[in-house]
Amino acid sequence: MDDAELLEAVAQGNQDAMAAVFDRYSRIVYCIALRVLREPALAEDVMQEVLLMVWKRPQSFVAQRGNLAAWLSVVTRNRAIDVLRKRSPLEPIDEMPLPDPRNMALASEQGWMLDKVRAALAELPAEQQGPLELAYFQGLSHTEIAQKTGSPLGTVKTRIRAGLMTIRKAMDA
Amino acid sequence: MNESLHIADTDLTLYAMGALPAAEMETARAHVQVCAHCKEELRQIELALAAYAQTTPEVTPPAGAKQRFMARLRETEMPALPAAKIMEKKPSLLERWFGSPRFSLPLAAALALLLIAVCYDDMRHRAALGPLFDEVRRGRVDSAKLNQIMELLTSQQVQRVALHETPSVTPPPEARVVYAGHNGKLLLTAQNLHLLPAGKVYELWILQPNGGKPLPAGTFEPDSSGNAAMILADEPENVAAAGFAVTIEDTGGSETPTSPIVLSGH
Repeated sequence: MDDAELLEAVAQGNQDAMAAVFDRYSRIVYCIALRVLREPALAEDVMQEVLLMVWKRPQSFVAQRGNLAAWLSVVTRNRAIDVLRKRSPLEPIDEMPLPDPRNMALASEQGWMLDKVRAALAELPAEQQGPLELAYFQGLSHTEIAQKTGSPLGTVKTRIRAGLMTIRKAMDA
Repeated sequence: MNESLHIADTDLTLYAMGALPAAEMETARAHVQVCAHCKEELRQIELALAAYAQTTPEVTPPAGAKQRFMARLRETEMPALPAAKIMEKKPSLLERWFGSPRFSLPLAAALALLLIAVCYDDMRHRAALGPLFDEVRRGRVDSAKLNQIMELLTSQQVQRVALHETPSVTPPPEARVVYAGHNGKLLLTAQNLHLLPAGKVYELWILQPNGGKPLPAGTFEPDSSGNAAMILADEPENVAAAGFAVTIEDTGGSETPTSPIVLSGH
């Protein structure tokens, strides 16, 4: 079953289908939560919360037919950052827009694209990789990153932006 | 933050990460809601951030995590939502026809094929999957295999290699291999292949990292359009691949390459 069929089944309360969603996406959700939180128990809590949202509100995915892996990745990162900073969610978790309106079955293309992004990140200079990692996976503000790295505020912003542009170029290559 | 026209790229990036100070977050949120340019730019940034998140090496959740999740799921009430509302439309005549038990088995494969075909409509590499669709269309791929194909295509634990002819011609023959060395599963799609004389086939080889003897990985023949596919070929497990190569061999394949390499990739 592809994602769309799975979610149709989930929307009808099929627990086996939800178990299949867990099998397919728990690793990526868990590893992102763990990368942010560095604490297995907290990462599992976030994983459960995010995947339970799929169980509670599958119709939003079914209707939009977005890229489920991308949606789960963004939502997981944001929720994990909230937990890290012990703050209320910035946005209600189920109102996060799906970042990719294309159909989720772009699995093959997605795999090739992510390989290119990984290769581009491996080539990224450390001075760009560091601020991007600190901002995205540690949830630090640019002010905090500037203090931590000793770099001027404007430089931090520019380096984060440059790191992201490298990813975008790799996606389009 | 520049509020005069559009939000500066650097600030929009920080906004997407939730990394702006609270007051600037609110300003940016309000602006994005009314500015199509910044909304589109934000969408592109979010796509890149989603890709960045997905580059995280996969980690298996702790033992028992699935059981704990399923237990919590059973305690969680789903909002009552009739299926009809979810589908947001009444089933068509075709859907009702396909919905009968007589057609339930081929339905999954047909829907998957349709879905894949539609969703790849705007893809640059749409042609690369053509041979795969053909195999599904011919009924050579059942739903269990479709599941395995989806897993293979989305896994981080595979190698993705594009094989090209040298020197290239137009349109050049090319092949793509997705290979999971740990369990020996392999998927090959090829297009624009030259047609072969009777008694000849293309043979795929796994090139070993130590420069050892290439391992035969299966044979394939192009259809009249030059397309070919090998679906979930089972290779020996735990064989590392430095690359892949294709030669032309006698029907039935060979144990060692006997002709020049026509496609290769690392």
